[in-house]
Amino acid sequence: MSGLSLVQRSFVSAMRALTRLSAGYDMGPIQEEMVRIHGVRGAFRLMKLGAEVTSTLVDAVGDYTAQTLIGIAALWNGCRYCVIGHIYSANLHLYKKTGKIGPLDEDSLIDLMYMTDTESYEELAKTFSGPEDAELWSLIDRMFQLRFHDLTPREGNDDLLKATLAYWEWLNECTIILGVDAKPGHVPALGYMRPSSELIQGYEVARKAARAAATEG
Amino acid sequence: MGECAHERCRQNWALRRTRDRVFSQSLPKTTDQHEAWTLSETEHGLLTASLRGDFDEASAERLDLTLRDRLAAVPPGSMVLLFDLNEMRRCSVGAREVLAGLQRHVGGLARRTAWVTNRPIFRGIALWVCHCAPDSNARTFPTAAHANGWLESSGAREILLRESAGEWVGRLRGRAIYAKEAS
Repeated sequence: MSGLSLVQRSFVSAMRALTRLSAGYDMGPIQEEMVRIHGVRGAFRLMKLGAEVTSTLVDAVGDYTAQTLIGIAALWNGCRYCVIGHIYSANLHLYKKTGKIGPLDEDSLIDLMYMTDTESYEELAKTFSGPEDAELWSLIDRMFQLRFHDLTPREGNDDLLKATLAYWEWLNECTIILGVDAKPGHVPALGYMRPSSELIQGYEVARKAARAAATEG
Repeated sequence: MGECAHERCRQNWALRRTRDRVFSQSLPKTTDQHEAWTLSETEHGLLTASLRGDFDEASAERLDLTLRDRLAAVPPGSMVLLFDLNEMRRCSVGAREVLAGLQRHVGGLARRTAWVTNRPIFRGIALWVCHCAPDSNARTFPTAAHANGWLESSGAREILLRESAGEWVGRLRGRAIYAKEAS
């Protein structure tokens, strides 16, 4: 933790311990970067706003949709760490609730990021084309318009989608230190999910089976 | 507007003219070309570096040298810089480190920098470059049109992002309080 004062180092240690306890993972150097860039008060505000946006989003649309929207917002910013971690979390939430695996595979995310924004939008439209994903797709589509076509927020969830976009654009300033190189399989399920090892194993087996079926098909 | 004595107004006016000329694809005043990049300067102080293909460390180093030379020949703060990555397909780890060093150097010379790319993967790399430089006057955008306002403005990136996040979360809070009161 070079370049930080004693108070800042203590705060980082406390934040890391708290995250391990509450969320079940360690964000490595990200929280240190938050304090380095924003100071102790700024980092605290950043975390607090993040918790506020996440809980508002979860209350409005549920865990799976919320984590998917966060992951897509991070995808557009180019943060691999956040897109992988939040989509993984979304998929675990869905698997836990329904026993089904989500249509967006973590292993496809980096390829999606190499596409142009228009190409990835079209790919996402195909991915979420099932009737069960209609509501989620309408939110992703709306978020895309707000992000890339400067749409004026006026519909029901527009403020929430804009808050998600604006917050993750700010957060990704710090997460990009890991986000520039992160790979699927090396990022924890982000958010406050704390998945059990049974859930993770069950999901991995189901996902591998789906990948094998897709390859054969 | 062009006759206004106020320094800020004159800067904005000059930048608007720069943008109008560049985004309407006016002919560049000077051009340097390499296999993996082109550097072109228009009359009104906008320097555009267009990077393409597989961008490796050697290409980045050539660009670094050329750009440093170009900026050394003009007064600090007189140029705005636009990195166009739309034609880039790969960027090596070595190249992005050279670009971060270059951004660190140009941060003290260019008035503002915009990194424009329509691929999220390169927006991530550009964000990493701006962050690691570190340069608060550099920011990433999906299109040149989105970068317009940034090139004309003067606020630090981190502050603008913080204020934007605060504003939108504030609106959510307002909505929640309103809903609570209404119920």
